[in-house]
Amino acid sequence: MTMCEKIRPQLTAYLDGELADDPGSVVRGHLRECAACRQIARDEAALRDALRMLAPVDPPASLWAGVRGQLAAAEVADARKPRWRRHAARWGRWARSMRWVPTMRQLATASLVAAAAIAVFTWRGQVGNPPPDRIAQPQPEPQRPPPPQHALPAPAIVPSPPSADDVTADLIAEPARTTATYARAIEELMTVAEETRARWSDGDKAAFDAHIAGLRDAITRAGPPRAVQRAQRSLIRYLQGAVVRDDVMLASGGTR
Amino acid sequence: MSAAWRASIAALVLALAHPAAAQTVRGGAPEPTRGAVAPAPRGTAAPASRDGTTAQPPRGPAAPASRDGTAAQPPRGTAAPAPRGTAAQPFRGGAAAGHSAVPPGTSERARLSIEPAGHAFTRLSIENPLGDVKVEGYDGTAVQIESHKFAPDDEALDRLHISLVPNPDGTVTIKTTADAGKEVRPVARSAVRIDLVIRAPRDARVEASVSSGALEVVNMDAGSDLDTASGSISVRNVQGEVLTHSVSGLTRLVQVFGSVDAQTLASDLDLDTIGGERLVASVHHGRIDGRRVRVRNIELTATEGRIMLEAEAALRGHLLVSSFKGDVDVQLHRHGAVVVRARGTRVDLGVPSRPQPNGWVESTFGQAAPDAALVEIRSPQGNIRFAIIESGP
Repeated sequence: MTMCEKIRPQLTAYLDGELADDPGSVVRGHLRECAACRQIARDEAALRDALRMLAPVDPPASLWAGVRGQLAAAEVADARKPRWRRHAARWGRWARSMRWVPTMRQLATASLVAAAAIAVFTWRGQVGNPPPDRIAQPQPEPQRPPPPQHALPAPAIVPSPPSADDVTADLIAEPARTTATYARAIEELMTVAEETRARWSDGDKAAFDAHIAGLRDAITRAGPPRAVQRAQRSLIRYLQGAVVRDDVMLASGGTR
Repeated sequence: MSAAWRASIAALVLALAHPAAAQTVRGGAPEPTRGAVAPAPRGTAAPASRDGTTAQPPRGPAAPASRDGTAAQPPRGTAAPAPRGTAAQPFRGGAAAGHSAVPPGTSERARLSIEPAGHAFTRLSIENPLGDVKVEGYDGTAVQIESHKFAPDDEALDRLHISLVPNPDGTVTIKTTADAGKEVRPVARSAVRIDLVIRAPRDARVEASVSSGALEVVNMDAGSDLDTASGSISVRNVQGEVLTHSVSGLTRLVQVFGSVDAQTLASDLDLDTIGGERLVASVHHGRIDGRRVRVRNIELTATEGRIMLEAEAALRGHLLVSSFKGDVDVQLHRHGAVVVRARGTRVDLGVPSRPQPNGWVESTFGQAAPDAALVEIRSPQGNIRFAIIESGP
């Protein structure tokens, strides 16, 4: 194995500052001599910097809903676990946190101790308990209805809504303001159109009403605010044509 | 964490924003100059990084550089690294001077240039609800972006982000946002600002929206689609299809050649030196002023506001000028026959003319011919004045 092959697996730990003085010195010394490994170390450091620069991604609301549901389901499942399994899971987490990995010898010893304990408990049970045929059979647990959704505990992590006087809230509210402004202009023009339509024939009125209904429907169906505003502008244009230029009468061949 | 894991996570984050960005990245991150450093005046170059090499902005707009180590820029995990580019480097300083709407506080300027990778940039999509946008066309192929953020303090400044996503279809998307974050101190919208100055290839189409900031597009050849709430729109020396919409921002179009569709709700519309096949412009409350307009088909409409148009009549051209509640004044340069019809409270066509029973006043200028231009003017509740200011054959 070459020196490079020995050093490269240690580069990440070295850059993380996890190597002790001696191994760290070896890596440092090798990097002074080896351009290839030095380049790899630079790449690694640069990548670390780049990752650090990435701003946190704001999770979408749907993600929070999913997390909330999974948390609730996990808690319900946890509550239904036998007590010994919860204790075992806790010990397992503790063992992992302590980075304790049992050796084969330790495992064998533990197995022997456990077997002995089971034998003792079994013997004591046979002495103190009635014969097996007198033991009451366990009854199946009655089916419990699932807890109602609204009874689930609220998750601890809930993104707080932005303050109303904050820039973020203002940005969120802006499309609605613009849409409302366009809507007001539409209503103004509709009022003018009501006055203008007195001069129209019944056919003109019907054509106008049908066109307006179609354009309003387009506004309703438009999804994002920008699309809504685009549809509103189309309606405004049509209304302006109708009331200012008599386009309705022109379309039906009426006198100008 | 191993290097492989880090690379995988970085690639995943970038791939979420853009599949083509799923590549291993690397780059350096020089610290921005902060604190007492005075901001450079607008339009000047940002300082180079400490080692004199290329670098990325370390803040919001920052992103890892591409593998060749020359460019970069995805903020917030939403932007892809640029395929190739030059330096970008922000700095921070005290309150910026020379900007009327800039609140006192801190500022950060960054510059970035991205080159197309294989295909030219054909479309620029910009959303900046936090400030001004200026797009200027030039004869290069790169998109050069200069951003200038302003905020009362560093904490607020850190919430301002600019994302840049170059797409494989030739679109470059630039968006600005203000993160909500958790437990942040509320900052008024008027206290923060992001201004963008972008130089783009002339033949890229510009689609941009701002809120109350000014939106300006200059020297572009592939048209634009511009949208503002209360911010002004300025278009100068642009060819192609130009669409503008504003709720209450002054809209000014100068030297536009092609097809124009401009609409405002409660602001004035100023048209100067417009040429091409079609001009449609409408305002709800506001005036329309048009000068040096040479367009075959013109439709100017105002619900409430006056219209003034100085135009040149094209053969077989059609000019339709209407205001529901406002005076209309049309002055026409004529090179051929023109038929003028008008109906309003009071109509003055500049020549003796008698109203017809249907209320229209009509007059013909020059020899009647099938290729005569037709001018129709309406103002149900206003006065109409028409004049030929230069006679042709």
